[in-house]
Amino acid sequence: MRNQLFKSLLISGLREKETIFWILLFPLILFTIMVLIFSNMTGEDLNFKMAVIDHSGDGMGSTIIHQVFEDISTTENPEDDPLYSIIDVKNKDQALVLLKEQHIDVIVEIPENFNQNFNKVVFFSKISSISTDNKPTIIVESVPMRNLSKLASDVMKQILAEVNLEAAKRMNISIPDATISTEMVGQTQDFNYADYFLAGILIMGFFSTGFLNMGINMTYFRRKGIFKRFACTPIKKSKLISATILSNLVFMVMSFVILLIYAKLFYHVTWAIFYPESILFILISAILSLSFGIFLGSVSKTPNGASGLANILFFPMQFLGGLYFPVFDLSPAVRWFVYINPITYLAAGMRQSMGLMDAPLPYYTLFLIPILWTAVLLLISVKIFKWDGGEIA
Amino acid sequence: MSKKILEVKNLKKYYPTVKAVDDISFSIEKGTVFTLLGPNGAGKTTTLEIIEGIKKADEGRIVFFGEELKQVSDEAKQKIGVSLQSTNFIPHLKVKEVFELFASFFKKSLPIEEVIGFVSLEEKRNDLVEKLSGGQKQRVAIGCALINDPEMVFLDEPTTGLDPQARRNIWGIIEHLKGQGKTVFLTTHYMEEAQKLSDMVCIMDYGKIIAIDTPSGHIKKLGELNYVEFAADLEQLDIDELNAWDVEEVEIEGDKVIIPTKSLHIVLEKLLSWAKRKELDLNDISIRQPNLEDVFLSLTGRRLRD
Repeated sequence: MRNQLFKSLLISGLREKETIFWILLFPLILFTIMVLIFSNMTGEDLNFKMAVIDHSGDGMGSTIIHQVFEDISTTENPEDDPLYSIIDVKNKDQALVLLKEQHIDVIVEIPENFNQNFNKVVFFSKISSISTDNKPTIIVESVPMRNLSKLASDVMKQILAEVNLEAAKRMNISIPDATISTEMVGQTQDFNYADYFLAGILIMGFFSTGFLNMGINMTYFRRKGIFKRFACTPIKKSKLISATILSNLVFMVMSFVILLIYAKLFYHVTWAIFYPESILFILISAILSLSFGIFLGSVSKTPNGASGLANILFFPMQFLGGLYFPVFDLSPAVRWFVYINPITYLAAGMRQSMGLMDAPLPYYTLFLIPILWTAVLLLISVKIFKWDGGEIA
Repeated sequence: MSKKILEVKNLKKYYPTVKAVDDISFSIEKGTVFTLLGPNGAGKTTTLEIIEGIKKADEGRIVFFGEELKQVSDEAKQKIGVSLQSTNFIPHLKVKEVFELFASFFKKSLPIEEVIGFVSLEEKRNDLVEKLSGGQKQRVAIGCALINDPEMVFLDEPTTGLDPQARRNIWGIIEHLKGQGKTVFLTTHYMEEAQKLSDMVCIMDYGKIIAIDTPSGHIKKLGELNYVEFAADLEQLDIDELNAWDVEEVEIEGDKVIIPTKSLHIVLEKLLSWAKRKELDLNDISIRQPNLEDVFLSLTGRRLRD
């Protein structure tokens, strides 16, 4: 019977549809959306659709270009999508229609005189200079306002630049070989957007529970006289608070477990979230979110007021706290908010501890700033919190 | 010999703009129904909440169960049951779960089913509280106040806003409690309720106690007054003419004329012949005994409902 209040609060929360949606389901939806959007935007599983219009006929230049296109439109593993898929078109007009209607992302056009000019370059480049008009040109057409189209065009230009280099080398034009090597900086494992968002959405879920749900509920309980009614019974204030906190912690654990299982099953996230330091950041996130909730419950007079204030605070906190995208290179106009925002440190700390991305901040600040925020919020709350303008004896 | 269960002495609670409780003293005997009667804003709820331990008094003494307390202790809270003016519970709990929750707060509690039966909510035990009617919610609130089998029950305006049937149900519960020998501290602004249920009625106005007595004691103080009431076309009436008879001050309430008098026969004869002479129709004519509403009027110069 001792835990009856905790049990009642838990039952109450589980029977509330809004709680179930915002705390348990919404993080899954947001996680899915973010991973789908951002993984597609950055090359993971990218597949551009390209139309090739060749006016040049047979020739060495066009043969090389077609060989390149064949290479980039096939994969070793038949299950993988190639970088480019070549879409057959009858003529340029049809290709333009398809581009405008977003059925394709880019058009590559090989002009009529391409092979002629290519041959001139190959045979006469060493004995005379080639005029601009006679250079072999490939036309790449895209829709700049469409991100995918612009990206397809940029990548294509890079590929063609590589082709130029290769051709120059074959013509014995002296161009030094450039060796490109890749190295992971601030990363100890392969970058995976699902892992990146897992940390962010996890913190968002905690704040939805501790900050919004608990803060608004505390205001509701006071406003509706529920705290006042409890004050007429022998229950201690400390038990009341601990049951409230404990029930919200259970919701956080549920939110965490459901999100983790989902992310593991469908997005194959790593177990990095269970590194000891990651767990420490999870605990700090939980405590800080509850502190925000207690603060909200202290300063708000009505549930509507609490809801409004929570949204005003939490909206910029989550978007300028690095939960969904990097924030340290934002414009100076908002950077001050990034640096005072405790979520910035939690998100950065969590990702650093998971080996995803090093924060451009001293490591100790990642712990210290959220802990300072927690202390300040609790101190203010203790000073101003009211059960009903009265006191529990 | 009667035993005092609660004594309140010189209790004060002042707010910046109002003296909510202004130096009041009273005592309650065990096994009685004690009612604070007064209009909204009289200070009834503030008085009750100070005694219940929700609010702190600025000054005054409270002797509860023979022990002087600055504020109600946890030990004292084990012996009291409270139903507040506004009835709200943790949302989405069933009736039975609400009782289980409140039972967990006390060292001893009655069986849940017994309490459910006492407040006649057997069929609603598995319903969510927010789905209940106002009267049913109020019964849940009273059930919560009774869950610890308290010696004293505080009921703050338990029938406000309820329909007549629901109100009578609550009255039945209070009479039952009285029958069990429980002490009930009731606040209300319904004079009929106070008159029907109370052993003692304490009339409050503007934070002060203006009279304490039994309901019949209050009424007796009005003397042998009777009230002749009738409805008439007020434009044809000359009140001064009526006041010239052997009556207390004649009162108009809506289209109703109320004539308080100690000389009922004489006034009735005069009234009928006066109406005949004036060719006035006297509708809904009735004679009634005085009630607590009349007591309040005679003490304050205004009606409780004003």
